[in-house]
Order: sequence, then structure tokens, then C-alpha cells
Amino acid sequence: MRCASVFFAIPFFTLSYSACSADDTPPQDLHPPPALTSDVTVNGKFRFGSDAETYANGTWINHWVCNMDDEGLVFVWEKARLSRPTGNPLPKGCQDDPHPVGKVAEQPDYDAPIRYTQSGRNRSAAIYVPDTTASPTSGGGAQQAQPATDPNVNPGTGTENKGDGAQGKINGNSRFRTIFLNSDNIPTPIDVNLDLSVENDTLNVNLKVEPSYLKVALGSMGWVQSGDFVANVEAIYSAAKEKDLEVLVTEPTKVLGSEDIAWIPNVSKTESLLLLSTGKEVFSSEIGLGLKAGIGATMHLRTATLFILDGDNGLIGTGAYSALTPE
Amino acid sequence: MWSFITENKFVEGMAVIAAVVGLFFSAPLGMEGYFQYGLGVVAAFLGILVANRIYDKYNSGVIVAVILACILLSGFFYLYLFYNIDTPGLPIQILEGFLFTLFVGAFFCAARLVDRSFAP
Repeated sequence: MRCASVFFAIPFFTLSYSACSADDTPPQDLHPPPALTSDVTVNGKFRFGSDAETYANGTWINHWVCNMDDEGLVFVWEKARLSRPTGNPLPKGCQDDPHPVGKVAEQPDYDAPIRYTQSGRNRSAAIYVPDTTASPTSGGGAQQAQPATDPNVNPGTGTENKGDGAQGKINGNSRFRTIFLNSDNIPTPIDVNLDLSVENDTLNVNLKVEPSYLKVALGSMGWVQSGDFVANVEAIYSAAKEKDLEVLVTEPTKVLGSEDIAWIPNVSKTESLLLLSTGKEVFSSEIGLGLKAGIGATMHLRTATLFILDGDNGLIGTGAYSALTPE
Repeated sequence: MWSFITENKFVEGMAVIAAVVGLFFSAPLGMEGYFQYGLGVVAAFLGILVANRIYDKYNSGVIVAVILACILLSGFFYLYLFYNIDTPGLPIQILEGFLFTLFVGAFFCAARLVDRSFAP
């Protein structure tokens, strides 16, 4: 009997949550803020994400997992309250859990890992969470620092964007990002792979953009310890010269037209953009920002707003970068 | 009661080890996790039952060899399936359950045999 009592004392750390709906395609990201999505291609093939959408009936948060493999998917995403046990794997398709919230917290929860396969492989993830500090009367509003206009409507012409056949994505192993395509005059397909990190006081930029004439601009970069990359213009230029890279630090109004300016978050309008031009088919490089100089502390890039520009500096997409590992 | 406790030191020690290992070893996802811990309890009782039956009936060298073979083979194949089959179907789950029961049962069988060999 003694061994039995000890066995029962073992904590159970597996939980079961209910499936709320099933579909074949990932939920569309219709409104800001951008969906936090990530792909898994090893030991399974699935995409998972978290999104916050504001509708007429309030703000909703939706977490979803889409299995793109013919083999079933078992997973537990505890903080998103989604799971599929080994006895009831998720077939090819999606499972999501949309639920209304008063207001979405400004910062996502970066510590919301998802476990998958029967052995519980771990994958970092982030989810939008309700703003528990907001008063009940403040709910339902749009997110701050986001365009006031509907992303599906071209602010200049008032025409609805089609976006059909044009796929935009920004990928990375440990970061999430999604872009909105706000123009119907988009070459297809657009493929943007961007990974940013800061190590040893160097901003590492690995960028692949196709078509090659597209540009990526970074704005409203958020650091754990505040810093101004404009102060390091000289460092940027010197590093870019070494890497044979076109880099421009400029203000949004000097690059973007008035129609495009209406698209970008307010917080980015007054800050400088770090404009990266590929100039060739594949670009992969590092840019030394010399962040340590004048600051004397290790910097950690947490967030950045992305802008995808065409060859004429026309804004065709926006998105967000966030480091999944909080510092 | 006190004599029962003192006469089963190795079984009790094995139970404590199992509890500690269970803390750090990830169980299968979902409801099967609960089932697996219950299976461990059943396996422990089965191991003790088998030990009481075979004690003094067979050559001790043979018993040790069989128990060692059970632990090594069932442990290896259980872990192999656990970490290499991402989404097991029912047959694989049954096979994993059998191997897991054999693995845990062999440990408790050995512990019970040792306890009995030390019994006055």
C-alpha cells in the first residue's frame, strides 16, 4: 500500500482543454495588432498563432493551431487553453478558441510555450492576453500605436484591398511576425524572411527578400534598455559599407508618401526608420550598431515595427517583430 | 505495522525513486498522462505479486537475468517509441503501456525479492 500512496503523490502536469471549433484554414488577421504566428516543421507540420481583433461587438482574442500534416497532431498549449491528447489528435485542420476580452494588454505574454508530440517537445510561443489593469469601461477600443484606418481599406483611395494571391510572411525560428498587405498592386508571391537579434552589442540582421527590389524598414524599435539607434548612424554606415549593403536612416515623411504615412502606427511617425535595401536577390548580413558606446549596458531588442516597401518606396505591408525571449 | 515497514525497505525506496523520476519525466500529453501513472501503480503491485510467487522457486541467477533483461529491453523499446513516434495510434499506445508496465514491474519485483532475501 505504501508504494501506491507514493505514486498517487506524483503531480499530474498534463491538462486537458476543450476544442472550440475546427476549420481547415488559419483564421485571417483582419485588424491590428498583427497576429503572432509561428511555424513548426520538425516532428510535425503545423502553424500556431494568437491574434486580437476588434469588431463592432468588442475586442476578441483568438488562439489557434492549424495542423498541416496528414498525421494527427497532439499538443498542449496551456496558456492558450488548447490541447489535443494522444488519444484524440488534431486531424488536418485548425482548432481555435476565440473569446471576448475587455482590452488587450499592450505587451503579449512571451512565456506561453506549446508542447507537442507525445513526448512533449517544447516550442516557445507568445500570446495576446487581456489587459487586467484596464477599467471595464475602457474596453473594446482599438490598440494604441496602430493605424486609425482599417487595414483592409486603402487609406488613399478608399478602395478595399484585395490581397488575393499575394502572400506575405516574415519567418524566423524564435520570433513571430505577420504583415498586412495593404495594396492590391502587389507582386506575388512576396517572401520576406527576417530574423533580428542583438548579441554582443551587435544588431544581427538576416534578411531574405524576394522580389529583390523590395525593401524592409524598421521603425519604433523597442529596447529593454532604452537606446536610440539614430545616435549610431556612423556605426550603421560603416558596418553597411563593409557588408556592401544599402542602409538608410531617415524619417518616415522623407521616405513614404502621405497615403502611406496614414498607415503606419503613430509611434513610428516621429521616429527614424532604418531602411534596408537588398539590392540583390538574397541578403544576409549583420549590422553593428555599436550600442554599447555611450550606453554602457547590454541592449536587448524586444520589438520593432516593420515596413515592406516596393522599389518606389511605396508601402505595401506592415508588421511587427517581437523577440520571444524576454530579457 | 512497524515490521511491515522495516521488512519492505527496498520496495519503499523504489517507490520514492519512482515518485522523484515521475516529477521530471514528461508523461504523454492529455488524459493518457493520468492513465500512465495509474498504470505505474498497477505495475508495482504486479511486480511485487510476481516476486512473492517466484521467490525460492527458481535459481536466483536466472531470476536476476530475466529481471535485468526485462528492465533493459522494455525500457529501451518504450523510450524508443515514446520519443520517435510523434502521434501514436492505439496499437502503439497499447504496446507502450505493456512495455511501461513490464519496466516498472521488473523494478518492483527486484526490490521485493531483495526485501524478502533480507527478511529474518
